[in-house]
Amino acid sequence: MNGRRRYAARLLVVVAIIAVVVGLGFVWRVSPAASIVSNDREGREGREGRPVPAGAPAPDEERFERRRKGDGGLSLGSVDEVVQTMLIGVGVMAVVVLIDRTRRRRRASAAPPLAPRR
Amino acid sequence: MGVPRRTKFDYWLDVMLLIAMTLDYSFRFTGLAIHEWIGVAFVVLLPVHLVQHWDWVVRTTRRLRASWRSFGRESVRWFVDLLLLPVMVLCVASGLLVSRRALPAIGLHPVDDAFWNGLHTTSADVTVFIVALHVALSWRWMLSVTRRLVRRRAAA
Repeated sequence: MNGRRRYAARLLVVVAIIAVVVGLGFVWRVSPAASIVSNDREGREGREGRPVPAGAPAPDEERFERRRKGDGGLSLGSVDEVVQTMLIGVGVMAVVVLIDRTRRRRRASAAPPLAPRR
Repeated sequence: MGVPRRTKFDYWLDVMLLIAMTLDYSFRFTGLAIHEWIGVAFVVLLPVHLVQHWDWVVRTTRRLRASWRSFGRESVRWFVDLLLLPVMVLCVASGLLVSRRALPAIGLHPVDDAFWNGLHTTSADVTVFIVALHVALSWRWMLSVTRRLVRRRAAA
Protein backbone atom coordinates (compact mmCIF):
# COMPACT_ATOMS: atom_id res chain seq x y z
CA MET A 1 0.00 0.00 0.00
CA ASN A 2 1.49 3.38 -0.91
CA GLY A 3 1.72 6.26 1.55
CA ARG A 4 -1.36 8.19 0.42
CA ARG A 5 -3.57 5.12 0.33
CA ARG A 6 -2.42 4.08 3.77
CA TYR A 7 -3.09 7.58 5.10
CA ALA A 8 -6.59 7.57 3.57
CA ALA A 9 -7.33 4.12 5.02
CA ARG A 10 -6.25 5.25 8.48
CA LEU A 11 -8.28 8.43 8.18
CA LEU A 12 -11.31 6.33 7.27
CA VAL A 13 -10.85 4.17 10.37
CA VAL A 14 -10.47 7.27 12.56
CA VAL A 15 -13.64 8.80 11.05
CA ALA A 16 -15.47 5.50 11.68
CA ILE A 17 -14.35 5.49 15.35
CA ILE A 18 -15.51 9.10 15.70
CA ALA A 19 -18.87 8.19 14.12
CA VAL A 20 -19.29 5.33 16.62
CA VAL A 21 -18.59 7.70 19.53
CA VAL A 22 -21.10 10.25 18.20
CA GLY A 23 -23.61 7.41 17.71
CA LEU A 24 -23.11 6.39 21.34
CA GLY A 25 -23.80 10.03 22.25
CA PHE A 26 -27.18 9.76 20.53
CA VAL A 27 -27.90 6.51 22.40
CA TRP A 28 -26.94 8.25 25.65
CA ARG A 29 -29.38 11.07 24.84
CA VAL A 30 -32.37 8.71 24.80
CA SER A 31 -31.20 6.62 27.74
CA PRO A 32 -32.15 7.30 31.40
CA ALA A 33 -28.50 8.27 32.01
CA ALA A 34 -29.07 11.42 29.91
CA SER A 35 -29.96 13.34 33.08
CA ILE A 36 -26.32 13.09 34.21
CA VAL A 37 -25.33 15.86 31.81
CA SER A 38 -28.65 17.33 30.69
CA ASN A 39 -29.29 21.00 31.33
CA ASP A 40 -32.92 20.15 31.83
CA ARG A 41 -33.93 21.41 35.28
CA GLU A 42 -35.72 18.16 36.06
CA GLY A 43 -32.64 16.20 35.16
CA ARG A 44 -30.45 18.40 37.30
CA GLU A 45 -32.68 18.02 40.32
CA GLY A 46 -32.60 14.29 39.87
CA ARG A 47 -28.83 14.32 39.78
CA GLU A 48 -28.02 16.77 42.51
CA GLY A 49 -30.93 16.05 44.78
CA ARG A 50 -31.49 19.70 45.63
CA PRO A 51 -33.99 21.97 43.93
CA VAL A 52 -33.00 25.25 42.35
CA PRO A 53 -34.59 28.26 44.14
CA ALA A 54 -37.71 29.51 42.39
CA GLY A 55 -36.92 32.03 39.68
CA ALA A 56 -33.15 31.55 39.86
CA PRO A 57 -31.49 29.84 36.90
CA ALA A 58 -29.55 26.65 37.52
CA PRO A 59 -25.76 27.25 37.33
CA ASP A 60 -25.37 25.59 33.93
CA GLU A 61 -28.50 27.22 32.57
CA GLU A 62 -27.11 30.59 33.53
CA ARG A 63 -23.87 29.73 31.82
CA PHE A 64 -25.75 28.73 28.71
CA GLU A 65 -27.88 31.81 28.69
CA ARG A 66 -24.65 33.82 28.80
CA ARG A 67 -23.27 31.78 25.93
CA ARG A 68 -26.44 32.17 23.95
CA LYS A 69 -26.42 35.93 24.29
CA GLY A 70 -22.68 36.54 24.23
CA ASP A 71 -21.88 37.16 20.62
CA GLY A 72 -20.09 40.43 20.63
CA GLY A 73 -17.11 38.88 18.85
CA LEU A 74 -13.58 38.99 20.21
CA SER A 75 -13.49 40.69 23.60
CA LEU A 76 -9.98 41.77 24.57
CA GLY A 77 -11.33 42.89 27.93
CA SER A 78 -12.00 39.25 28.76
CA VAL A 79 -8.41 38.17 28.31
CA ASP A 80 -8.52 37.08 31.96
CA GLU A 81 -10.53 34.06 30.83
CA VAL A 82 -7.68 32.99 28.50
CA VAL A 83 -5.23 33.47 31.37
CA GLN A 84 -7.49 31.36 33.60
CA THR A 85 -7.59 28.56 30.99
CA MET A 86 -3.82 28.75 30.59
CA LEU A 87 -3.39 28.54 34.36
CA ILE A 88 -5.41 25.30 34.46
CA GLY A 89 -3.14 23.86 31.77
CA VAL A 90 0.08 25.10 33.34
CA GLY A 91 -1.03 23.80 36.75
CA VAL A 92 -1.73 20.29 35.45
CA MET A 93 1.49 20.30 33.42
CA ALA A 94 3.56 21.44 36.39
CA VAL A 95 2.25 18.58 38.52
CA VAL A 96 2.97 16.00 35.79
CA VAL A 97 6.47 17.35 35.08
CA LEU A 98 7.26 17.39 38.80
CA ILE A 99 6.13 13.78 39.25
CA ASP A 100 8.03 12.70 36.12
CA ARG A 101 11.27 14.38 37.18
CA THR A 102 11.04 13.03 40.73
CA ARG A 103 10.51 9.51 39.41
CA ARG A 104 13.49 9.79 37.07
CA ARG A 105 15.74 11.18 39.78
CA ARG A 106 14.70 8.41 42.17
CA ARG A 107 15.31 5.77 39.51
CA ALA A 108 18.70 7.26 38.66
CA SER A 109 19.80 7.32 42.30
CA ALA A 110 18.61 3.73 42.82
CA ALA A 111 20.57 2.44 39.81
CA PRO A 112 24.09 1.07 40.52
CA PRO A 113 26.91 3.45 39.54
CA LEU A 114 28.53 2.85 36.17
CA ALA A 115 31.90 1.13 36.24
CA PRO A 116 34.77 3.41 35.10
CA ARG A 117 35.96 2.82 31.53
CA ARG A 118 39.35 1.28 31.03
CA MET B 1 20.80 17.81 13.61
CA GLY B 2 17.78 18.98 11.62
CA VAL B 3 14.20 18.34 12.57
CA PRO B 4 12.45 15.88 10.22
CA ARG B 5 9.52 17.28 8.25
CA ARG B 6 7.10 14.83 9.81
CA THR B 7 8.16 15.81 13.36
CA LYS B 8 7.87 19.48 12.46
CA PHE B 9 4.35 18.93 11.12
CA ASP B 10 3.32 16.99 14.24
CA TYR B 11 4.81 19.67 16.47
CA TRP B 12 3.11 22.62 14.80
CA LEU B 13 -0.20 20.76 14.55
CA ASP B 14 -0.03 20.00 18.29
CA VAL B 15 0.84 23.63 19.10
CA MET B 16 -2.06 24.80 16.93
CA LEU B 17 -4.48 22.40 18.60
CA LEU B 18 -3.35 23.50 22.05
CA ILE B 19 -3.80 27.19 21.21
CA ALA B 20 -7.18 26.46 19.57
CA MET B 21 -8.32 24.51 22.65
CA THR B 22 -7.19 27.27 25.02
CA LEU B 23 -9.01 29.94 23.02
CA ASP B 24 -12.10 27.81 22.51
CA TYR B 25 -12.44 27.19 26.23
CA SER B 26 -12.18 30.95 26.87
CA PHE B 27 -15.64 31.66 25.55
CA ARG B 28 -16.03 35.20 26.89
CA PHE B 29 -12.83 36.15 25.08
CA THR B 30 -13.68 34.69 21.68
CA GLY B 31 -17.44 35.25 21.55
CA LEU B 32 -19.88 32.76 20.07
CA ALA B 33 -18.98 32.94 16.37
CA ILE B 34 -15.20 32.49 16.77
CA HIS B 35 -15.82 29.83 19.43
CA GLU B 36 -17.94 27.83 17.01
CA TRP B 37 -15.63 28.24 14.00
CA ILE B 38 -12.70 26.99 16.08
CA GLY B 39 -14.93 24.03 16.94
CA VAL B 40 -15.53 23.43 13.23
CA ALA B 41 -11.76 23.50 12.66
CA PHE B 42 -11.44 20.71 15.24
CA VAL B 43 -13.60 18.51 13.00
CA VAL B 44 -10.72 18.52 10.50
CA LEU B 45 -7.71 18.86 12.80
CA LEU B 46 -8.65 16.16 15.30
CA PRO B 47 -8.79 13.24 12.81
CA VAL B 48 -5.52 14.45 11.23
CA HIS B 49 -3.87 14.50 14.68
CA LEU B 50 -5.11 10.97 15.35
CA VAL B 51 -3.85 9.67 12.00
CA GLN B 52 -0.46 11.32 12.57
CA HIS B 53 -0.05 9.33 15.78
CA TRP B 54 -1.57 6.10 14.46
CA ASP B 55 1.71 4.20 14.62
CA TRP B 56 2.22 5.10 18.28
CA VAL B 57 -1.34 4.03 19.13
CA VAL B 58 -0.96 0.65 17.39
CA ARG B 59 2.53 0.04 18.83
CA THR B 60 1.51 0.91 22.40
CA THR B 61 -1.74 -1.06 22.19
CA ARG B 62 0.22 -4.15 21.08
CA ARG B 63 2.78 -3.66 23.82
CA LEU B 64 0.05 -3.26 26.44
CA ARG B 65 -1.74 -6.35 25.20
CA ALA B 66 1.47 -8.32 25.47
CA SER B 67 2.37 -7.13 28.95
CA TRP B 68 -0.48 -5.23 30.51
CA ARG B 69 1.00 -5.66 33.98
CA SER B 70 3.96 -3.38 33.31
CA PHE B 71 2.39 -0.04 34.07
CA GLY B 72 4.72 2.68 32.85
CA ARG B 73 4.46 6.23 31.52
CA GLU B 74 3.42 4.97 28.09
CA SER B 75 0.51 3.05 29.61
CA VAL B 76 -0.64 6.16 31.46
CA ARG B 77 -0.44 8.11 28.18
CA TRP B 78 -2.40 5.40 26.41
CA PHE B 79 -5.20 5.44 29.00
CA VAL B 80 -5.32 9.25 29.09
CA ASP B 81 -5.60 9.28 25.28
CA LEU B 82 -8.25 6.58 25.38
CA LEU B 83 -10.28 8.76 27.74
CA LEU B 84 -9.60 11.94 25.80
CA LEU B 85 -10.86 10.58 22.47
CA PRO B 86 -14.55 10.06 23.38
CA VAL B 87 -14.70 13.10 25.64
CA MET B 88 -13.27 15.44 23.01
CA VAL B 89 -15.31 13.92 20.18
CA LEU B 90 -18.50 14.34 22.22
CA CYS B 91 -17.48 17.90 23.10
CA VAL B 92 -16.98 18.89 19.45
CA ALA B 93 -20.04 16.96 18.22
CA SER B 94 -22.36 18.40 20.87
CA GLY B 95 -20.95 21.86 20.15
CA LEU B 96 -21.87 21.45 16.49
CA LEU B 97 -25.30 20.14 17.40
CA VAL B 98 -26.10 23.27 19.43
CA SER B 99 -24.31 25.66 17.06
CA ARG B 100 -26.04 29.02 16.60
CA ARG B 101 -23.66 30.83 14.28
CA ALA B 102 -21.30 28.54 12.35
CA LEU B 103 -23.64 25.84 11.09
CA PRO B 104 -26.58 28.17 10.34
CA ALA B 105 -24.09 30.23 8.29
CA ILE B 106 -23.63 27.25 5.97
CA GLY B 107 -27.34 26.48 5.81
CA LEU B 108 -27.55 23.86 8.55
CA HIS B 109 -29.93 24.42 11.45
CA PRO B 110 -29.03 22.27 14.44
CA VAL B 111 -31.32 21.55 17.37
CA ASP B 112 -31.43 23.36 20.69
CA ASP B 113 -31.42 20.52 23.12
CA ALA B 114 -30.86 20.44 26.88
CA PHE B 115 -28.91 17.20 26.62
CA TRP B 116 -26.44 18.39 23.96
CA ASN B 117 -26.05 21.75 25.71
CA GLY B 118 -25.29 20.02 29.00
CA LEU B 119 -23.01 17.49 27.38
CA HIS B 120 -21.09 20.29 25.66
CA THR B 121 -20.30 22.19 28.88
CA THR B 122 -19.60 19.07 30.93
CA SER B 123 -17.33 17.50 28.30
CA ALA B 124 -15.55 20.83 27.72
CA ASP B 125 -14.75 21.08 31.45
CA VAL B 126 -13.38 17.54 31.44
CA THR B 127 -11.56 18.00 28.11
CA VAL B 128 -9.55 20.99 29.26
CA PHE B 129 -8.03 18.94 32.10
CA ILE B 130 -7.38 15.83 30.03
CA VAL B 131 -5.82 17.88 27.20
CA ALA B 132 -3.45 19.46 29.72
CA LEU B 133 -2.59 15.98 30.99
CA HIS B 134 -2.20 14.71 27.43
CA VAL B 135 0.24 17.49 26.56
CA ALA B 136 2.05 17.24 29.88
CA LEU B 137 2.74 13.54 29.39
CA SER B 138 4.60 14.43 26.19
CA TRP B 139 6.54 17.30 27.73
CA ARG B 140 9.94 15.78 27.02
CA TRP B 141 9.15 15.42 23.33
CA MET B 142 7.74 18.96 23.16
CA LEU B 143 10.77 20.39 24.94
CA SER B 144 13.24 18.46 22.80
CA VAL B 145 11.61 19.51 19.49
CA THR B 146 11.32 23.13 20.69
CA ARG B 147 15.02 23.15 21.58
CA ARG B 148 16.00 21.66 18.22
CA LEU B 149 13.85 24.17 16.33
CA VAL B 150 15.23 27.12 18.30
CA ARG B 151 18.83 25.94 17.88
CA ARG B 152 18.33 25.46 14.16
CA ARG B 153 16.86 28.94 13.81
CA ALA B 154 19.73 30.43 15.82
CA ALA B 155 22.28 28.61 13.67
CA ALA B 156 20.68 29.83 10.42
